[in-house]
Amino acid sequence: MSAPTQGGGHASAAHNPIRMYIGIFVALTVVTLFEMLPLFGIVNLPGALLLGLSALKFVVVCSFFMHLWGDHPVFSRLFYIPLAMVILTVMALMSMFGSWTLAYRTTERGTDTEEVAARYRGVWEGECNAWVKSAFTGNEYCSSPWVAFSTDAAYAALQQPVADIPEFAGWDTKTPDEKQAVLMAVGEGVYNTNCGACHQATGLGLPTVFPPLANDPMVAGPAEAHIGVVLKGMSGVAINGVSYASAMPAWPQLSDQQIAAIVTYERNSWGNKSGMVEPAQVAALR
Amino acid sequence: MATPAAVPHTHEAGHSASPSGLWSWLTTVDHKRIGILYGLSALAFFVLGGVEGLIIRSQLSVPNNDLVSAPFYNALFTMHGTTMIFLGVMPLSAAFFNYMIPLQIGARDVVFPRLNAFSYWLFLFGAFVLNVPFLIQPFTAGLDPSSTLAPLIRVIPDGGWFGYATLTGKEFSPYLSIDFWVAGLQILGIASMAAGFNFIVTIFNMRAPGMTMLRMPVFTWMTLVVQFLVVLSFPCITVALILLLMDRLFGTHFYIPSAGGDPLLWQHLFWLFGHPEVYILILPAMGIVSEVLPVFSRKPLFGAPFVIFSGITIGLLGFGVWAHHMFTTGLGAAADAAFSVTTMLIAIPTGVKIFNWIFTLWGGQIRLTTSMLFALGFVGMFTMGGLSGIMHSSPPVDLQQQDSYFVVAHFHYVLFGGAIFGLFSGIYYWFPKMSGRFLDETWGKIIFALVLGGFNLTFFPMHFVGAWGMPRRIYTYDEGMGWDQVNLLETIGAFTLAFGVLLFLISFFRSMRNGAKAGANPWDAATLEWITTSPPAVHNFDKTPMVYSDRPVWEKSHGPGPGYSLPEGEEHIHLPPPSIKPLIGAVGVGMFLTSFVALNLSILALGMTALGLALIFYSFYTWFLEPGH
Amino acid sequence: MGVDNYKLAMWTFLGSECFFFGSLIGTYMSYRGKSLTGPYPLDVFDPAVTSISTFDLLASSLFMVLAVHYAKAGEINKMLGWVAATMVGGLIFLGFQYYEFSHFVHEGLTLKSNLFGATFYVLTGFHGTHVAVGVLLLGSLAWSAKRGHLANIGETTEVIGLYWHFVDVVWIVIFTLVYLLEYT
Repeated sequence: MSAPTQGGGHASAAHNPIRMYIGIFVALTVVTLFEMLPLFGIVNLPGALLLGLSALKFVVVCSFFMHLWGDHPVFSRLFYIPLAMVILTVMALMSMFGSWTLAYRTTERGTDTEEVAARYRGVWEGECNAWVKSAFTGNEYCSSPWVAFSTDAAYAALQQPVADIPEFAGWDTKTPDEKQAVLMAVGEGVYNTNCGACHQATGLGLPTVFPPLANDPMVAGPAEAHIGVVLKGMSGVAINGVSYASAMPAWPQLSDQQIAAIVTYERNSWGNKSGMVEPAQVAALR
Repeated sequence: MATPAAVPHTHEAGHSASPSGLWSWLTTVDHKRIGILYGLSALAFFVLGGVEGLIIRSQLSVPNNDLVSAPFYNALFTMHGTTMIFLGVMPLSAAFFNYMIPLQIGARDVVFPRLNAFSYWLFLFGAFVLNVPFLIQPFTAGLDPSSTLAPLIRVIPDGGWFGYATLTGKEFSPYLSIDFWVAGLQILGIASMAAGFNFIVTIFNMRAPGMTMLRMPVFTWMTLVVQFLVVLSFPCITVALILLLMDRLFGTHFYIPSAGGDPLLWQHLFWLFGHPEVYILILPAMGIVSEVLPVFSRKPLFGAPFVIFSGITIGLLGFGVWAHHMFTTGLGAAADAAFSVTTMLIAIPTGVKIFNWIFTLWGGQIRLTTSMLFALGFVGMFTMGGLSGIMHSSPPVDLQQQDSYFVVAHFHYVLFGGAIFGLFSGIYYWFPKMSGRFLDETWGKIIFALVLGGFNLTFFPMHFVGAWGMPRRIYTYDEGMGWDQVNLLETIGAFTLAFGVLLFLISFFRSMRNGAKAGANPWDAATLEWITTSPPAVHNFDKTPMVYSDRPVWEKSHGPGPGYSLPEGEEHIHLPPPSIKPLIGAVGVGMFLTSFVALNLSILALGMTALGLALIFYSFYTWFLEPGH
Repeated sequence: MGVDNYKLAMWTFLGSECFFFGSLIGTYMSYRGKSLTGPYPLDVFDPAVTSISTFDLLASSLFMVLAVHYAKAGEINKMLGWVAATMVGGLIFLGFQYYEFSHFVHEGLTLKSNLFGATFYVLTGFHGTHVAVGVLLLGSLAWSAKRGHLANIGETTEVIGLYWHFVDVVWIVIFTLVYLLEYT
């Protein structure tokens, strides 16, 4: 009626299972100590090795502490088949979320959130040579050098402005009114595609979540600061006394023309009237 | 035979009188009574869900209708779906699991009878939580939005049965409707999982001697696969709901894009549950049909091992297709292709079953009883539903079909034409065993005709109107879209269908009193439940049979082979005593989970959480760890 | 099938729990690196605390195995001693989790602060809850065994031991994916 009380199928284990258990415990401890070396900065271990070692520990605990080794095979199947299904599912989820990349790293510990955020941005911009853009949120993450598909070319492509917009042809020959007209027309489209999801087509944003652009001090203020926010993003700043938990992402992948169009459109919509911005101004601030 | 460690046993050899009275039902641990409770509850909620469907169809019968408001329409289709799936089909299947599995394997009860009762009472609590909003909203709908009770203005769940983020987040659903939905589903999930563990252990451990796994009836096999689907897929929706609850109650951002969260995470977690769930809904009916078709063809099931292994394969593959519900969300070509392939693959074992059923009929001595008619209807209707399903498996085609009535047609063909037809077949098949009387066969044929005709009139046109562009979940539509006449036709079909169901209910309750008497094996069927009396004695079998084939009762009368044999001498009959602890435990768990809804209104709800926990500890402790009670 | 009912039920339950923790781990891994603001893992992680926690849980697994061994051998007093030791190990782990969580909150990592906070606390919080339930189960086991209420001490202890080892094994996975991978 009940399963055999001894876990191991070995004759020696039947004589002194306690010795075996302690032996296994010691082995697990040694492996764990080894895994902890990177925690204390003693040596760097590749992720694959750590995963392999923990899988080993996992199977050892299951086989000998939980007695799957030598027990009725139904128990192993009841556990390992769902486990295999879960591992495959998690891997599929990670693939669909683009999570095979290591997004952030730092060599120092920080205590101030603002400062740490700034340093992370610096790490990304300085050291990262391959960017991955989330299809959904539009945010960009630095992919780790050891991931195969990250390349210098990918980063370079994002840093290059996209192809010229046809309406901007012959820019230098246009009158200011013509320039404004082009910027507003193009800007409305680019704004609605990229910015409208958060700031809304009405420019009113979402209270406490996304700042409104109507009557916004940034939009009414100097053009350089306004362009800078679109280019580099912003977080942790209170606007008109309201603090916003979410950060504004950076948009370096938009071209000078696109950003100039967006900024001009914002500066001249919803009651704002603060002038126009040229693509050259955007280029100067990258 | 393995017996639980600490459950007390009483000797009731030969005792067959069943206690009556409300208390005997509240404390019952008899699988047959629990099955009846599930069955009657399921029928009641099926009617409720049907009424919700009829109101939907009435609203859609003509363009620009104002029978119901848009917000109430949202609540209607949400509750129609949730009720039919969780309170209709699943408990009706559970009724048969509970009643028939121990009988089919030659056991006296399930391994954990009190846990079984716990599952039922918790299910009922969950059903209550989901539906009590209907009683609250009439009184709270007109409340002042600034009062403290304002969250109660909308309490009937209205986020769709699939509750997509960010609609169900606090920003777009600030009222308690979603919280009631979350609580109800969590409760139902635990109830189902507890039953899942119970049946898995029962089927593995409690089979009569000689009944190897491959000698088990196909219905038992499909039940086993379904229980694994339940215990493995429900944790995913548990997590999805926990994360939603945290977003709504504690301000996390799991599904909120502004903080980097992704609403698609909800969809992934939900459909990781949701797809196995649809196999949970259909496999029991497939099991029933696999029993009924052979009996009324007087032939063994063609390729029974293949039918069994196809069921197992469907169960396994069912975990690999979930994102085919998300083809229109921008997963990317690689993911689309992968899930398209797995979805097409799962059609293969399904097709194997259909061919095996057809070959079972071929050359058989067909008896067109009502049960058989519904089973044949299943094969036809489910195949049609499967054809529209395989169309969905192509992402470019799905791009047009997603969120249109084409999908509504598909899932009603597989869920109504499939699951419900199969379950009705089971009702007509097993009613004589459970009650000792036949359901009226003449009425049955009329009912079948009305249901089949009404069903097809309602749902077949939806393929067309969906392809013509009618979206799902719209409370009305404009005239001149070309949809008017079709919708009216569908509504007529729905009322025809409903009339058939009404006749069924009348027939059901009349037959319980006045139906023609039935003996132990009125259909000349093959499996062990037909050895027992109709209805079975409380202890099921006087003596546990020794089994020699997968059709023991058939072979005993018709050969070849002995079929089964009964041992010599008296058998010691152990029956677990009744207990109120499962009900108390269910109330405790239900209270604990529902308190999270009340926490939206007042911190005093923590008292409810504490009381729930106290009841859980009390009932579980006295139930599990104190023998002799 | 001839195997113990409770053991069969427990292993099925553990298979189900793989999907529960799998969903939580899947959520954590999908959102890894996607927090829009800090604090980020390396800002708050304390290797010393994590190391001690991990060894503690590993040791408690050893104690549990010994408890099962003595329970099956019928040596109830030794079994009770090792069950108590396991419980102490579990309580110490919970203590360290509490300490770690308070430290993180102090550093600004909360459920609401960012995705890392949300996914981290929910994953490790549910794991901690499972440890707490395990401690309760062990306590009930010890109480019932001591009062002679249990018909089948060996098998019951083994079944509860399975639960305890599973909780340890989940920690091995969490420790690797949440903590160790940040240092590669």
